[in-house]
Amino acid sequence: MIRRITTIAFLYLKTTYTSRATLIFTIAMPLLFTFVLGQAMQAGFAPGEIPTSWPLALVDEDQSAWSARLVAGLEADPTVHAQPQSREAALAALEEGSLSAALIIPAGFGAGIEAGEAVTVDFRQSAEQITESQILLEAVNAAAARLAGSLAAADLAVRVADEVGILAGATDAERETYHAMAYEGAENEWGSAPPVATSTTAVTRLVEEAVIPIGASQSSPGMLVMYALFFTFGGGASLIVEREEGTLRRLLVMPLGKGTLLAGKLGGIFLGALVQMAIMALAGRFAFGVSWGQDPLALALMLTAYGFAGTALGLMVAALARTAAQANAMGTLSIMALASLGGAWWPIEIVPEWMGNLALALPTGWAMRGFHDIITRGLDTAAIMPEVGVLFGFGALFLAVGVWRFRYE
Amino acid sequence: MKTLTIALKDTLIKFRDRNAILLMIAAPLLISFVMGAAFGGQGAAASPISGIPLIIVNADQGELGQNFAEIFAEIEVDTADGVQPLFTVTALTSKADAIEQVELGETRGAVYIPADFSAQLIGGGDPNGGTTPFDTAQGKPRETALVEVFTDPSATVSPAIIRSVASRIANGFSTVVIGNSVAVGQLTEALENADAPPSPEVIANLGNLDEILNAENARFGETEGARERIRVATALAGESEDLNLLNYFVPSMAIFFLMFSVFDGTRSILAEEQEGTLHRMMTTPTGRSEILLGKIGGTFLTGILQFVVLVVISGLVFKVAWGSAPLAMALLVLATVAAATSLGTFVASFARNANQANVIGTAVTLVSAILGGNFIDFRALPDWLVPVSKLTINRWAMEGFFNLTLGGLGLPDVLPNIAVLFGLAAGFFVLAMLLFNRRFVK
Repeated sequence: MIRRITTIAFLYLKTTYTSRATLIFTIAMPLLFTFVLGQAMQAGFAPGEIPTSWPLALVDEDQSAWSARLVAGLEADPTVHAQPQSREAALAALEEGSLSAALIIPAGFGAGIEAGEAVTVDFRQSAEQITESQILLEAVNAAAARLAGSLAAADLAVRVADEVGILAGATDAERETYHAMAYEGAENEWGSAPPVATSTTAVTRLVEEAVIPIGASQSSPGMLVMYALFFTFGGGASLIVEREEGTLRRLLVMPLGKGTLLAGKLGGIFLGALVQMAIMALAGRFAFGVSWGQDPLALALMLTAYGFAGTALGLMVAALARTAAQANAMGTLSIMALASLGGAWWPIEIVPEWMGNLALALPTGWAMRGFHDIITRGLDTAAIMPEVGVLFGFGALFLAVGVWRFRYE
Repeated sequence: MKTLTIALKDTLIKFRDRNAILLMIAAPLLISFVMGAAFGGQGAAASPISGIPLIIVNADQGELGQNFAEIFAEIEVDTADGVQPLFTVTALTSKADAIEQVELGETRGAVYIPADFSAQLIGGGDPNGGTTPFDTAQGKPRETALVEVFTDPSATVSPAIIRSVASRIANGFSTVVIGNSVAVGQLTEALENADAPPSPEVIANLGNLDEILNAENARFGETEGARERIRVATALAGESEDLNLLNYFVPSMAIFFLMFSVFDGTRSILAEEQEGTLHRMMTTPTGRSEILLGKIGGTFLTGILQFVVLVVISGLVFKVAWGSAPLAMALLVLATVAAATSLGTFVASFARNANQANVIGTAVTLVSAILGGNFIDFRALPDWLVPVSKLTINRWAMEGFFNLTLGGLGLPDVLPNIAVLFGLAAGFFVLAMLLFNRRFVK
């Protein structure tokens, strides 16, 4: 029986992979999607390194020593790529969506500071790129707080001097000089030894100093997860086509059990999906520079578990659909929904909490979790066992429903 | 007349087919909704990130480390669902555990406050130094208290936010220390450089310097000190504060699924050819071109109806604003559907059979979608891909719809798009007719 199952499986594998259509939709299309999506996601980021920098339109209408200090503070921040320009250009770029945020330092900023007043800078966020602009807002807040910090230190120095009484009878000019000297003193202290500093490290268990390509490290597993389903759903639909054309019934005339026949077909679909995913992972590694982890066993387990869950899901959809056309329509819709909700189209971290939780109800969500653990975190077999277990669980459930509901004629 | 009858019959068949409706209407609406929810939160208005999972390990024995940790939990952000905490903070006691949690992806980042944090800030590390909080002036050269931040490399946005916020809080603490240091330092310098000896009153006050500093620092705390001096006012760009992201996603998905359905329609010419019904029809007095035009017209009409239904439903249910230029919108829909139908007809005209037309058609649909920007923001494409993108119907159509829906522009602004689309429609149509002519005459 095992030999028969194997024969049927390899027959399926051969007929699929010798068809040009399979090669287009199983290999060429996902690679094109991986590439273009990777490029597009990378666009917001500087190539390669973390921390990455985000472009910020900088409009300095004040042009004073004080605005220059704020600008210098921003330029020192590695997350900010400051682009000085006019207000008109900045607002147009925001409107058009080519920049995510602009900082406008209004005229009178410096004069206000010198007069001891509270001053306001104007931060405009593009509503379309709210997350990118949120990063820049925090950077602007930090730079403004730093400048305001030195000012506050100088303010404090003047108030203390007043309390002590040494500025009694001093002229305005003398008070200003006192303030200015205190400000310089504060700036020097920031420069030499700030009392509290922070250091940031991205922690990963990846041993090789892999430069993580932000775009492709999302799109490579993402498109693998989505297109593997196209393959396994196609396999399921082929069962319905065979049923509609009567070839299934004809095969059943032969001395083969129903179970053997189905097992063979499913084996072929499963193997085909493994071949496809292996090609995707290899292309990701060698063509797109995605690490795909340092534990081949972990990767093999994840691919096997996801291949199993995908194959079983393809069978279940085929079992629940009445016609090939229905399987096709339901399949396309559910693949796109599963892929997007599971985090195959965009990083799951950006979605609202309820959607993040929803992803954990889907096999695609667990697959992306496992692949990210392997690719970006460099985790090993032990760490991805929960994902592997859940995927096998999904697979068992889908398989049970599929076998139970599948009709041969 | 007969052409119209055939077209209407085909359209009717299509709209009675439940599977077709699923792909034509339900799919674009559902997928756009998912996209809107992912990027915009409830109500699909643009919304910043909130509730970033963060671990804080406070190894400090003193009060200041506690304060540092508390500030993280207090920061709030204004989201589409109201004011939410920016971070969801978990406290741990072991730095190694915290790093492990980040490595395992259980949290987005960890902040470690060192054991001697308070001690370093109070007294500057000098055992004989002052007892006043932040009194560093009399101590040894100050050591920097280092707060360590660990972030998850698989995340793109939250690490940058965590880092900036940590540095902002650190700056706040530094400000207080430096403020005291400068206040005392500047005072000392002024006294040393003074022409006359200090008055008895000043000398008496100097004895109470610690109290004065404490009082001034308390005032500083009450007025939020540093943040008072430079305020960062934020505003969303664009006319509307509640930008509906579905204004972007619904046209994208409508065009994507339109291509599917019109390609399916034009392919049916080949299916009828294979099944022999086309040739049977051609034996009737109805002319060949009437039949062909009827089939193509049916696909075109189906596409128009599909788009109109999507516009109406998305307008009612998702409140998508389809712009204020109905004429421009109507022309753009006509041009888009015409271009897609012609392209589908062209594919059918040279494909060997329906199966091949399906393969080529689906491939063309997917390639056009990814390059034309149905799944990405086409402005994010690298420069060298832009000309390739402009070869697609999708790109011209999307740009036109965005000008109307997002840009609020009118007919003159989308005329180039309409012209290009009609041009493509005419070109593909002529090619398809030539090929079909050869195909059926032989």
